Amino acid sequence: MEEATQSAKSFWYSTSKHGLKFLQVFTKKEKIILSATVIGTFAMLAMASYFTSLVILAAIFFLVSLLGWAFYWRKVCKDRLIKLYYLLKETSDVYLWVETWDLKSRYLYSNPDYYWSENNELVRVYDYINTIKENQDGTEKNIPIPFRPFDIELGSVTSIDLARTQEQSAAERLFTSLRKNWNEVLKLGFYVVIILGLIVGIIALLGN
Amino acid sequence: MKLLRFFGDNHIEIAEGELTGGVIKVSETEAYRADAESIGFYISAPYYGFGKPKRVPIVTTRVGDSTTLYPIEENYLCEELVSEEELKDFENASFLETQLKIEKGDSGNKKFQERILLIVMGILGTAFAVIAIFAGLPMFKDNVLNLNKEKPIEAVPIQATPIENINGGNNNGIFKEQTELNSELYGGSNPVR
Repeated sequence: MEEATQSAKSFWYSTSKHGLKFLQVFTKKEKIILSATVIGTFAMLAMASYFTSLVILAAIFFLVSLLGWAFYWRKVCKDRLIKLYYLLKETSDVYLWVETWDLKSRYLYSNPDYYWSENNELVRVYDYINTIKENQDGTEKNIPIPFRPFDIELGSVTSIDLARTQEQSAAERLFTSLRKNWNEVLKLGFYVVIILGLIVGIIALLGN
Repeated sequence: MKLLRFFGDNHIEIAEGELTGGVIKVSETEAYRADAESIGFYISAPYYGFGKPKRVPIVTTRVGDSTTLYPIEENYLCEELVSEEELKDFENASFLETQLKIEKGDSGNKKFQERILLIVMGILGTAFAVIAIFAGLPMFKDNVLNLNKEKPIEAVPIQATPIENINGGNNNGIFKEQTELNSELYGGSNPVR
């Protein structure tokens, strides 16, 4: 699972490692209920062509079932799939972060060092650029290492320090003159008065 | 530009950053030095991998460190970290940029605002003109154009009809009822004036 096969690039660019089709994420029982809902919807639409009073009911049923199944599909995907990030080297000086999805069940007994949290969900981050060699089943394989950027000490200049250099509100106050501001306010006010006048005119005409 | 931000508490976030003057600014309290060599690509997998992948440039950062990460390197770091001296250069650059913007009147932003106001005015003006035309068209047609050349209806004086002539002169029933009513009310056939 965690082999580094850099030669097979097309595999790594694949963003769905689970290999499932759109509705294959559902279990057999869920598929039966989905089919029953679809049949029910079509039956109601067919009946609505004979009994016109059923048209609104059929439309509501169709919309509710469509929205309900869309939300349920999202929930099922969230419960059964896990996001993986692969760090890959495309060329000697270009790296890639590839986001891919796999079945959560495959990682129940995997190494927890790869776990990170994203939006309160667990994701796994693999560094396929820096791999380690490991002997598995008599053959030597390249195993990706966990991405651990905080193992190296932070620099002396923090991101807040750099953000503070971009804060220039004092300079803005210093260089902005009052007269110029008044001109801008008057100009803006003039435009707003015209717009309001047009709105009032339209309302008056529509009233007539 | 997108940033893949790694936090010290083991969580990650993808955020949008604004690139200005060699600095990528994420928020008021977070900015990173923009190094061309630290830019990589991110292939996203929308809709749980069922959607079409997208490829966008991305910068990898550690939140708390102003130097961006170089994931291609073994220790993920570039050789030159952001120094205190470099901070002064960034501050000077930012100050000069602000000064220049104010001297130019921040024309870009104001022009954009003006353009929006003018577009709104144009839409409202057009709407006003259209409604005004449709509202005033019938009056304009009748009074100014008079396309059908219809003659105005002349007023004919109407002569008042005596009560005796109503109903073709056959008013015996009415007179009888009136006489009975008068005798009931006033004790005679004619009302006392």
